[in-house]
Amino acid sequence: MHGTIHFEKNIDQGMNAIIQLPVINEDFIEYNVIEQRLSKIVSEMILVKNYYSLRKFQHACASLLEKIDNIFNPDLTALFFFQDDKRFFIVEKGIGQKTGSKKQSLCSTVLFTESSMFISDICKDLRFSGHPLAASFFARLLRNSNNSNGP
Amino acid sequence: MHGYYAIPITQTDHKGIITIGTFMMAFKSVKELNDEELKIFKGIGHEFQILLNGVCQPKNQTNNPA
Repeated sequence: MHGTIHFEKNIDQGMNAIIQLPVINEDFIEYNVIEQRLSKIVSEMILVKNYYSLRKFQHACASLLEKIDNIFNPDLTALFFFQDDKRFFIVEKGIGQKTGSKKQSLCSTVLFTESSMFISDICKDLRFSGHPLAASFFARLLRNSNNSNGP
Repeated sequence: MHGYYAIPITQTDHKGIITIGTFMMAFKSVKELNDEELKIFKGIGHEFQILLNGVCQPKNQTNNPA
């Protein structure tokens, strides 16, 4: 994600000094911006026991995520919070990102309905008929339907 | 993606209870949880909520009541 540049500089009396500078690139900046936003989201919520930092909170959540992983072995699992048009992963497994778009997520449906969702196959659930993750199934269904109605 | 299980995570706001996030798990294949497994999943979702409640203060309260 980021590193340091090492280079030596000759100074008087023939001694060398090693100067370390952080490499500032887009990844480094984005990483830090996300970290700051995550910390802000958590610190805004955590007002009473402010000894809880983002890291401590993540650590506490991670053990619960591990429990889920051990019991169900899902392909993806996560706890995330929404802010503006984004979702911020507090802890995740199988996603490999710190943020994501709210619109593209299946979970925006949960945010909208404010109810739990237990769906064995989203491809057969009409609530996700327009969603890219389920769209292929509905496209296939429509195509099959058209074919069966044809000559 | 096929199997999808999610529980909203809420927080008390001055407007009431609001959904601030989600705890979820998803499976690439069709996945049907039985009643016992659903109970376990809900239980862990509840643990997430308790964890959050334990470290959160409702947004309409302040640290300094005076």
